[in-house]
Amino acid sequence: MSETRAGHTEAEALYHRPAGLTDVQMRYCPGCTHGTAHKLIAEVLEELDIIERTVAVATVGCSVYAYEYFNTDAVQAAHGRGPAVATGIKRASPETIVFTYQGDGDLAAIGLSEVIHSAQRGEKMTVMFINNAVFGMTRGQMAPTTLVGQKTTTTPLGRDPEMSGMPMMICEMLSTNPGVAYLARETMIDPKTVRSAKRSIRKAFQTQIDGAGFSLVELISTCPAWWHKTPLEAMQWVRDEMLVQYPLGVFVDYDG
Amino acid sequence: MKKRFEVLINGEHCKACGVCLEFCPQDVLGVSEQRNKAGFYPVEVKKPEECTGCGHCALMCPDACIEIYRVPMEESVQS
Ligand SMILES: Cc1ncc(C[n+]2csc(CCOP(=O)(O)OP(=O)(O)O)c2C)c(N)n1
Ligand code: SF4
Ligand code: SF4
Ligand code: SF4
Repeated sequence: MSETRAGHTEAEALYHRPAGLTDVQMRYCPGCTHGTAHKLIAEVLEELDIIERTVAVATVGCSVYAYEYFNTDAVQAAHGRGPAVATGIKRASPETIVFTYQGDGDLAAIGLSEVIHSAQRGEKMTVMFINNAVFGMTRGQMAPTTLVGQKTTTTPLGRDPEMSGMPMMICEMLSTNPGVAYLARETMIDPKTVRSAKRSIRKAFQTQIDGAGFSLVELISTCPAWWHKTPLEAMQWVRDEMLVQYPLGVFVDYDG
Repeated sequence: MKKRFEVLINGEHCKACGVCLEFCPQDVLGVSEQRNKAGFYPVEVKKPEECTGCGHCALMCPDACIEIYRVPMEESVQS
């Protein structure tokens, strides 16, 4: 039986740091659920035994260093262009498992075209879409996903739909797209939702392994720093406000 | 009571976000009096014998700092 890092046997481990993560400390703010999302993806890569044949596509945002955290090969794409880069990798090397890791600024603002066209073409890739309703890295500006009335650096009086339109609902938009094989929205605010998020992430990667088409999981995430909340207040705000605008669920399942 | 589970916390990676403290139903965890290199007061195990191995702390930790192991029967009886 193999030894784990702590010198215990695997059989005794109820929970270990997933092999899909490197030992590098993630640079996210305390309590930011970007880390939780990384951890769940890493667990799934380990459980599906695909770490060795996976390429992660890091994008622009707080997760710009994702290539240091995932224990896979990785590339770094220009802002919003993750799905275009992933398309190239997948087409050149169909055996490779490719996923992009994109924030809502990256995917829903500057990169909206890339994700829609990749879905439209049914590219056999997996997109991890982190929706925290702000541009975190650049200090909390409004994103397309910002809630009505939400105060951000660029909407100090709250988002006004007359001025900025309504929040963009990516899953609902993509759900009619024939290239999409798996599409779900999850969150990570208590043990139950974390377990559910992991099931959807696993299903999304399985979709790609099965060659069924495009898969995307939207993870409603926290940004304690720019929501000006503690990590626990931020989780409560997801429950009370974000989930009203963004209902959880599986929108498309090729095998369901 | 005997210790049935060992909870290991990577105190150097812990950012003292408090999420694990909130989700532990058994009040096993507490805060260290010593800062880590990054300047945070990391979480540590205060009442190991109370742990039921539910895994909530590890599931919720955004920094994957927590590992949980079952203590083999013989050892837990001896200790
Ligand atoms: C071409 C280009 N335009 C703008 C920027 C500035 N920029 C960096 S990160 C970012 C937004 C990131 O927000 P999001 O994708 O929501 O990720 P988060 O930081 O919230 O995780 C922007 C606009 C850039 N780096 N490159
Ligand atoms: S700025 Fe927001 S999204 Fe970025 S790491 Fe900090 S809390 Fe997370
Ligand atoms: S496994 Fe459960 S009981 Fe044990 S420390 Fe973690 S949350 Fe508490
Ligand atoms: S959840 Fe993780 S990072 Fe946060 S206080 Fe607990 S051990 Fe530290």
